[in-house]
Amino acid sequence: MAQEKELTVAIERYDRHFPFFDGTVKGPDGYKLKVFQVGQSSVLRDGIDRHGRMLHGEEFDVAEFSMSTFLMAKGRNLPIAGVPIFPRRLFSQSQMWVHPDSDYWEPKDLVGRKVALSSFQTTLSLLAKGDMKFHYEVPWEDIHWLLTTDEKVKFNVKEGVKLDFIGNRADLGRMLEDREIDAFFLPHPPHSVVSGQTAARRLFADCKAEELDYFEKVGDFPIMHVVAIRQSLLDQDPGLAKGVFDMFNEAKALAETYYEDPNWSRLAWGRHYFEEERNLFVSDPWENGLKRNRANLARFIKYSHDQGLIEAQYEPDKLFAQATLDT
Amino acid sequence: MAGAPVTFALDRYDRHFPFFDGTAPLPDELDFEVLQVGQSAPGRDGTGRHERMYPGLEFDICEFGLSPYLMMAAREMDLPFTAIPAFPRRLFSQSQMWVRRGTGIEGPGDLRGKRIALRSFHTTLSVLARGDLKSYYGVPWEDVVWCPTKGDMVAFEAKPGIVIDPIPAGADLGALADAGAIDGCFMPHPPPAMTDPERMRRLFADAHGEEAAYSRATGGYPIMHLVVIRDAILAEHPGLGRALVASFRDAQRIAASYYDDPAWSRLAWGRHDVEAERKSFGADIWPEGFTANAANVERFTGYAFDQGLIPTRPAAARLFAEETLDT
Repeated sequence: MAQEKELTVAIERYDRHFPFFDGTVKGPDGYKLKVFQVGQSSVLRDGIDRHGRMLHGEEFDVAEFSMSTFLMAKGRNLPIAGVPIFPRRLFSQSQMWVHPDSDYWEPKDLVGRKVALSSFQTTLSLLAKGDMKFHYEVPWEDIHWLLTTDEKVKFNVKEGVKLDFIGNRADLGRMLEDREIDAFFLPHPPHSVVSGQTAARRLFADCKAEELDYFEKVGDFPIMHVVAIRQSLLDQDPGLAKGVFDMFNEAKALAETYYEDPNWSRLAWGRHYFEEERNLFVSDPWENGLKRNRANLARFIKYSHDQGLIEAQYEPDKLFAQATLDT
Repeated sequence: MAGAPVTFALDRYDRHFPFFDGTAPLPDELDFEVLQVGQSAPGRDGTGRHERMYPGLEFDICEFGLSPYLMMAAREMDLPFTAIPAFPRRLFSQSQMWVRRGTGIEGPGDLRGKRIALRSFHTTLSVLARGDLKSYYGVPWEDVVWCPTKGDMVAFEAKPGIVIDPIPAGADLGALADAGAIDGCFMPHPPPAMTDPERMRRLFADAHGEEAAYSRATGGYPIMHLVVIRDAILAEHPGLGRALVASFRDAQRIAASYYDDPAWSRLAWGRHDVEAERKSFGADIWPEGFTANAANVERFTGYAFDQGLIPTRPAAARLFAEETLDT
């Protein structure tokens, strides 16, 4: 029997990734998994800066990766391949926060205001700007964007866009409280807000209704992350992409069974929420594969092009390894 | 370090993942082998955890049922293990009460004379549900016909006049319900057939609201499981019990922080659910340690005594390792 090769995988510790950390999911045939728990903006067991380490350091064979940066990398023909697995998704609406005493209640109220983001190309930034323009008809160009982290892939800012780099992301809660900024749109709100030390509220009074309406109109739960794989590895073993696809789907299926136990979650009513969401979404909003996510990806490509992050729109097929195109 | 590692058998709840991915600090004077053992549903390392601990004595440290432990302790059985005040599983009874559609059962009062399937008669959730029926809803549990699907771990003499009509092991509960042989079930992990919305519904249409009111009235989230340690290990390592309570507290804190990430859970509105529960409960519903849980334990002790499961009502302090009483 041939010796198993090591396959290094860098991922977050979401509920759906636990099967990687307790060893209940195995590597693709011929590979032995070595799993790293690496955060993007916060330090996890095996560190931080997962996207940068994958893009610039090629430190991992497989990594959960920024959807937006991935679109930019593929637009520039960088040597990175994708697998149509989407481990992180978010609606933009719940991530839009304003001062509790402000008069901002919908996207148009933010025209001419200062809104802080992570980087301009952060996937949540891309989605929120795109949703503002194409879903709420509020051109994102009419907002003054304040950026707090570096851009992973360089790009030329479109003419006329008001944008300043202010850094200091950890301090955004205080800046909002002191009205130095009018809002922030972040994938991870600052700790001071999450813990309730800083008073902030979401822009929409009823995010859940807003997002459900968005899902009904658009048909998708927006993608934040994709799974990237080192191109050089695929050159040696093109079939590995499908093996990785199957492995992530297996982990996802295992994690779904967790919620069968009414007390799996610390949430006292976790099982009720699970049942409610199943009824609301009808089909699985987390379904992986190219077919189910083609429109979702095409929307991101449109947003990315509109925001000047990629030069031209392209077909979603370009993003993924050949062996996964029929998923 | 000499000797085999200490075996530590736990379910795979969200709050136990810090033990499985190694992020929860464990007392460093010992080597631990963390096993993932389920009770009704299998974990990575199998199922039947409570029976494997008693009478099997297979593990050194083990998540265990409050009710059987209480019965053994109150009988002054010669047990080789002692509990520490860490409480990995909690459930409200109301969400676990399912009735067959078409029975006309609208509220707890309608359960009189009906046939309700249980796991074992003394399963912790069975004891809680019967006690809540009588003490909280004013419906004597003695008026219901109880149909356990599993034998009892600790033998007891049923109180005179009550009806216990066991269902044979392996019986198809869905078929029994369809045939009218059972009218409902109160189980910690109901099988899918008993939560199938075509056949069954929860007794309380608004179980969530019912439980929030119950929690306000009784001041807690009912305990299902505690943790037991072999006495030989406790004797050899004074302070280990206290140190483990601290480890469980750390694990709870780490697991609580998972939910800071709005995309940690596959629940699209998981973060909103966390915020709503925090507001609803005010306090932490998963406190570890003796002091914060003594009243909760004694409420349960009262139920077990009323149900004839224990000959006397031991004070909570008698149930836990002495060194943990000031936790």
